[in-house]
Amino acid sequence: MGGFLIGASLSALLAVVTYAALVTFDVEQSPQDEAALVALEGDGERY
Amino acid sequence: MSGDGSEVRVRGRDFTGYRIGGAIAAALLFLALVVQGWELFDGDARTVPEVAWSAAGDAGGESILTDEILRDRTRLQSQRFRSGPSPDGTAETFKVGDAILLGNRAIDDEDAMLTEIWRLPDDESGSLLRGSERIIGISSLPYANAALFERPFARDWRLGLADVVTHVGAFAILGFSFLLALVLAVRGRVPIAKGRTDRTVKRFGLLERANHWLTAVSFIMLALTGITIAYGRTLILPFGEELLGSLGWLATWGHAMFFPPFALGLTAMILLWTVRNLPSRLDIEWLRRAGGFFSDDPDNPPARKFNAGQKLVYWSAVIGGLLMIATGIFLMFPFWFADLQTMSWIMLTHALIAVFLIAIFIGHIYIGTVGMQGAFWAMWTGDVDRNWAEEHHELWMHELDKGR
Repeated sequence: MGGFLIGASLSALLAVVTYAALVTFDVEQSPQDEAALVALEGDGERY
Repeated sequence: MSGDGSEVRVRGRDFTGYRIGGAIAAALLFLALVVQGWELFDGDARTVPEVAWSAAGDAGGESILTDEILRDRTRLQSQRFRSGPSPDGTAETFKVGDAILLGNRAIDDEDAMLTEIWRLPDDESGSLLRGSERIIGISSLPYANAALFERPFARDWRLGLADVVTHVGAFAILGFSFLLALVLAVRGRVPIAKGRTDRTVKRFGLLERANHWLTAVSFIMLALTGITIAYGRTLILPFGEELLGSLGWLATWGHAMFFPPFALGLTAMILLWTVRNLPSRLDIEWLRRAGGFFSDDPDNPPARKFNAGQKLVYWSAVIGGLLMIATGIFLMFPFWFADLQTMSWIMLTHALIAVFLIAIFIGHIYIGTVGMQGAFWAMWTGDVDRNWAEEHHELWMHELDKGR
């Protein structure tokens, strides 16, 4: 049972750390999305 | 069942409670398979968005069909129903004049509404019926897919993902679970034939067990969140759109969150267990006799620490897991490393491997819990009954005895 508790806790801990990392670094956007956003924000008149 | 006397013989069919449980599970799973089979052949065009249509109004049934505008609308609606150009759009309600309203309720017999012009299309409607072509234009938007106007392959992909993989997956998962439940009902548990003793041997240390559970818990979370993503509309939508929305949101995050612990566990597993899982000649004999699982004889085919069945599970986890990690990384970072076409194939591959991994690990969980007497303790306390070890891992026991 000790092995299960350690394994399950570690899994949960790493999942939370991953969540924090994903939110902090906001990796949802692809380079193409970012380029599109930069283009849109940088040249609002054109669009 | 205690003692180590050779006269003790435990038989699989002695586990009556387990067998009744197996029979109930088999009956429920059979029902689920029948429903799934019915879904497959009930004629629903599942990959086509269901823009159902009907005509209602107070102008009278005869006059509706003679109405020119209504006829055009009917034709367009029918076209949308068949080819589905707008999978995300909601079914619209059209108001044609004061008296006639086209609703989105399905009619009983759509053929009666099809006009002559639909059966013998003129040039205008013929252009609607032509085969789809890939059309790429020019866009000033700095986004690779912005200029892609029409992509016929997407329909094949949608068919593959929404129909083939989901149905094959449901059949694989439900069908395999049904077979296992049936085996439990008919055969009973794989017993410790010579009965339990009060002596145990250490099978897995704390590090091995902790890593097993790290990988297992992460895998189960990935499987549950993945199933929510893939089958949410079927399994959760009947309980309400809000629940599907909430669980879908949790599942999308959860699926990304449990990837690193799974990857860590798998890597450690490779380091811990690969050497002992390399194939050997013993495996052929073990597989030929199906591990002795269908016999209550204690004389099972000999195996070292891992038998051929466990090796198959191990290599499924390693190869399948690595492929899932590789394809998963592509999906976590859409269009970073792959174009649209490649992304489509990666998603399809990810889903296909996933359903087979889930089926395999349902088998693993079965044999490690209800399917075999005494097996569970190997991963729970780390200690197994000596008779269990001698019956299933005879050569490993000899190794241990020599080392003493």
